[in-house]
Amino acid sequence: MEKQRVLVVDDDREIVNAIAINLQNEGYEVLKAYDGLQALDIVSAQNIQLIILDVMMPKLDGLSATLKIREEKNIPIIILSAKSEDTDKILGLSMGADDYVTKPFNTMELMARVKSQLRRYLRLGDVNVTNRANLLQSGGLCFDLESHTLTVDGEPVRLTATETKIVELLMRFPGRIFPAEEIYERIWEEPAYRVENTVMVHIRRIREKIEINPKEPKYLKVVWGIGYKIEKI
Amino acid sequence: MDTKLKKSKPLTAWLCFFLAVSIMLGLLITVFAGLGYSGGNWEVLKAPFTDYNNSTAFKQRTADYYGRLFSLVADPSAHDDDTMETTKGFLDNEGENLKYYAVNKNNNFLVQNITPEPSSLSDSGKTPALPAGYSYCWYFDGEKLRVIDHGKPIDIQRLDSGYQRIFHGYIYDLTPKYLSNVQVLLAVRDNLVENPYAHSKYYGDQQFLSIIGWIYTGFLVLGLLLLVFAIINRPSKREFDRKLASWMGRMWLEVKLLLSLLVLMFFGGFAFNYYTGWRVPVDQVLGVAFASCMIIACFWWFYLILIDLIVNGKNFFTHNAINSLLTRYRKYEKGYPWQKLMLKRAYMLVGVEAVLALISVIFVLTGSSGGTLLLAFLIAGAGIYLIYRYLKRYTETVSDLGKLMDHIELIKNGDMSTRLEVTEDADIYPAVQNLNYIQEGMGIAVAEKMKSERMKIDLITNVSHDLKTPLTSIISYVDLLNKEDGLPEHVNDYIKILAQKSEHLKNLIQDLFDLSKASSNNLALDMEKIDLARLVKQALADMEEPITASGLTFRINIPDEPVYITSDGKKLYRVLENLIVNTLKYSLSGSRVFVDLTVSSKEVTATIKNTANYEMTFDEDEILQRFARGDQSRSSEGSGLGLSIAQTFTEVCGGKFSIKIDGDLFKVELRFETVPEN
Repeated sequence: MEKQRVLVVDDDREIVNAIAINLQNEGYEVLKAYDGLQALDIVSAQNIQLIILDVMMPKLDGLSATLKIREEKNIPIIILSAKSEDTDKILGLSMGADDYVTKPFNTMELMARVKSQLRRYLRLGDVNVTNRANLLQSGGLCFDLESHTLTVDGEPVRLTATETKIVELLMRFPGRIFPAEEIYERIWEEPAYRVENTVMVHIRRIREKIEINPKEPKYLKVVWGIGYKIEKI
Repeated sequence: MDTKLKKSKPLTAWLCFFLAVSIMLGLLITVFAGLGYSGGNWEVLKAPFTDYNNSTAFKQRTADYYGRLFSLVADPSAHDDDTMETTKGFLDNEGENLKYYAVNKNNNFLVQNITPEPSSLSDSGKTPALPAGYSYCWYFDGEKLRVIDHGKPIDIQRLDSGYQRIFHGYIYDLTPKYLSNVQVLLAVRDNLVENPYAHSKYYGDQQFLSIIGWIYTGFLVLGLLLLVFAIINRPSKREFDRKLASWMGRMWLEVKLLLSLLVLMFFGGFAFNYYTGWRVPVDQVLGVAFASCMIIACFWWFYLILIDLIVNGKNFFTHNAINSLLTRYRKYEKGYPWQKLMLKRAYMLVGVEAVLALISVIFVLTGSSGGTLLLAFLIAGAGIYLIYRYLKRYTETVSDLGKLMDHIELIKNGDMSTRLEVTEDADIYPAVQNLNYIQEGMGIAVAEKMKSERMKIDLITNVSHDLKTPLTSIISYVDLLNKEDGLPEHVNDYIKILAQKSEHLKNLIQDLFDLSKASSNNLALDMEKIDLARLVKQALADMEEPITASGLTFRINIPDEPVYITSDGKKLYRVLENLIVNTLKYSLSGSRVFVDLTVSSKEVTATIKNTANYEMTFDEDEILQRFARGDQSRSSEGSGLGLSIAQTFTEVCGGKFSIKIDGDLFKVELRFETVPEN
């Protein structure tokens, strides 16, 4: 199989090199660019499967570059930025980026994200299109109502019976916030009394299985002071 | 030279105005006086401009002589020798200009300086024979008066004869029978001559009137010219008016009133006295001129009062003796300290009131005339006015004190910009000014502090941002090194240390960044209604693993029902996370940690209490200082910003954060206002 090509864009050459080494170790072919305009040139000239893009760059910043690339191509873009505020993340994702990683990043996490993005882009494109009625979907999460199985970016995840019930409940109403009591009563079918810990333990375990970085979950979120939800993506 | 002219211009303009108005007034008064004297006879105004022998003045003069002669002859018994001589002398002063003959056959009284032919007199209806050079005469033949000019009798009853209103005041209430024996002839010389022995009034009048017309006309023209000049230079004139007003303004109201009264009594009375009891206007020229001066002086005095009133306005009334005395007293009392000053003022009032009361009582008891009574009333009035002023002042001071206290409260609450304004002569003005200075100084100090704080925060934000880029490289390459195979064991140890420390540095920078953002109010907040009880439960559940691992016992006392507050849940979780991490790190192993949530009517308090595993040698404020660390040695993990972040985030999220240290007991309290469930 042909090697997948990843474009790494950052004005800091050392960071580009470090990422490149890691990507090459993982078996990808790496292209390098050091500002937004170079990146655009390479994107239009070459066949690329994924872009890792810094935000603050000379000539053309990462967000503008994202907008430009999105006009033509649908390849996954992971934004890499020193800006760690929620608002920055939301802005980046709304510009068309598929993921947002803050600097300084954890190499393993970055590699995991690259992998999951590529998997979704290359393998699941057809699944997305079919969108079967018995599939619940949110981003890379896919829950099969028939087989009661969950896949993350195409990879099956092993869940316990309770965890599966919780995921199914939350995924039936993506974006809706469930208080611990409601989850407990629906899953355990018992009156809820001081169940926060019980529910939280399960939520944490599910997170560890489906999230790349459980501390900064992408799908299964705690809404502090209210409840739990699966993000509607 | 130029400046001198400029300076003198207002004066010049004003003087022109003054002269113009004075002249016009003088002319006007003269005209009215002339009219008044001649009983409203307009002819009198023409006198200076007609031939004297035809003028009203001439007729009036002749009428005067005729009247004197007639009264003398008609009733000689009414005159004593002196008046008779005076009248004769009066007539004789005219010398050649006047020939007269008057007889009363009833008592054979006769005065004469000519002897006309008796036949020409006895024949009534005939013109008496006159000496050569005398062609104008008045002749009373026992029945009626005839005026004959050059042999022609004049109908003196006709309106156009010029004799109307000449005779007023000469009606003699005598029977015609009695008068039938009286004959009076008065002849005036055609060419009037000077009498070398006495002053001839005919001659004098002729000379005077021939020039007075021109003098009047001259004055009129001069007055008009000056008036025009003054009108052209109105602004300069007004400038001098203001100067005059400022001079007048220095005078006390009482003095002005008194002077006005005197001016009215003196000048007005004088002028009025000059008006009465005269018959021949020409004789009154000097008197009229004098009276005019008086009236003009009166006019100018009230003009001064008027401009004073217009220019100085309220000051016209407020600049009075009592006010001046009070001002002087105020100046005097300023030398005393405040307490003494206020007491002294009260004592002074009592003393002055007593003296005034005494004086007015003495006046009432001793004097019985209206004047002394009035004076007593005036003094009593002054006393009442003083009390009024004292009370007014007292009220002002009390109100100012109130303002001062409010202002101190304001400063206490941190308002550094509002200034307290009181009038400059207020009793507490120095205190107010000092307070304003203190406030200003504090304001500057606070602003400086805020500025430097803000600069520090900006610096931290920028620096922590710039730190992240090289740190990213460091972490990435350390990671690459970590994956390298075949390195010696000790190198791997070094790499492990590098990895640990760079991770620590990463956390530190992130904490620093968050803190600086929060304390510079740049934190984006997502405030919503959340259940604090649930949040605490969630946070504890979330951290269950490290809690269990720590071996500490958590005693949790949280109500089962929701406690709603308005806050940012994510930030608040960060606060609780920091606090719990802190607790796990610094608690005595095996001890108990108490997490309580107590709800009062409007407030909910979350408390975390733990027993420290070291001696806390600092106070509550010190621990919250950024970078302060519980153990002071800074050896352990963490940025040392945990508590600072907890505090800042709590406050940003609308809560209150406090720490209490009691021996080894460390207690953190978060307080929030509760909101109703719906």
